[in-house]
Amino acid sequence: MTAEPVAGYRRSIWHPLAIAAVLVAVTVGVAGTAGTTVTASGPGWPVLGLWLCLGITAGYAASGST
Amino acid sequence: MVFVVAGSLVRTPLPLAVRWLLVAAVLAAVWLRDLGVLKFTLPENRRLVPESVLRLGRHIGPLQFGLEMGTGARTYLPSGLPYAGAVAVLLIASVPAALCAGIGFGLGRAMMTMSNLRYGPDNIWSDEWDRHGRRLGTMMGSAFVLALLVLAASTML
Repeated sequence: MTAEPVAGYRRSIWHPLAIAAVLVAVTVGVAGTAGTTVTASGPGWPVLGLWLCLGITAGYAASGST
Repeated sequence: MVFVVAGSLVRTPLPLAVRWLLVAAVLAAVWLRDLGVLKFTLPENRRLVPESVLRLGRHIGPLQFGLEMGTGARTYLPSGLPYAGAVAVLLIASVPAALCAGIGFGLGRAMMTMSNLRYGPDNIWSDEWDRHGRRLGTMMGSAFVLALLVLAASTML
């Protein structure tokens, strides 16, 4: 009765590891974009996106129990 | 915003390279703490948001709960990364960058509650988090470091 739902939960897109994998992928993508588009004229949207990713990873990392 | 305003005073005498070195030092310290290598206490309001705030009404109660939870003002913070992020905002970020970091932090906190509710009953999401805690810490720490490295490179140009 309980084994199957738990297995289903483990495959869920809402699993902590699945969310973390998406966050890592997004951060890598934004970092790659920022790394290739930043010019001496100043930071643009990719850099602000990177600050956003920085905040999201910090906020999500603080999700665990103590 | 408080960090940016305070940071504008702290930044003045420090060259950019020194400020990045300070951010790196704090990040290294909190990461080693998270891994259990170093032991020290960080400022933390170790209290949960009480359910009594929900009595403030249908809109104000949840708003206050979300603000306190989302900003980390009254909750537990089991990771050191928010502290490293705060130091980065204090020493490096512009006003728009600080706003983005703050919004991101709230989104990250919201992601926790949202996925916890959708994953399954009885708080099993947190159990899964605890089961994979070290791997999750490594993943989030790596993404955080990557973001900081690219930001450092972009500001040093």
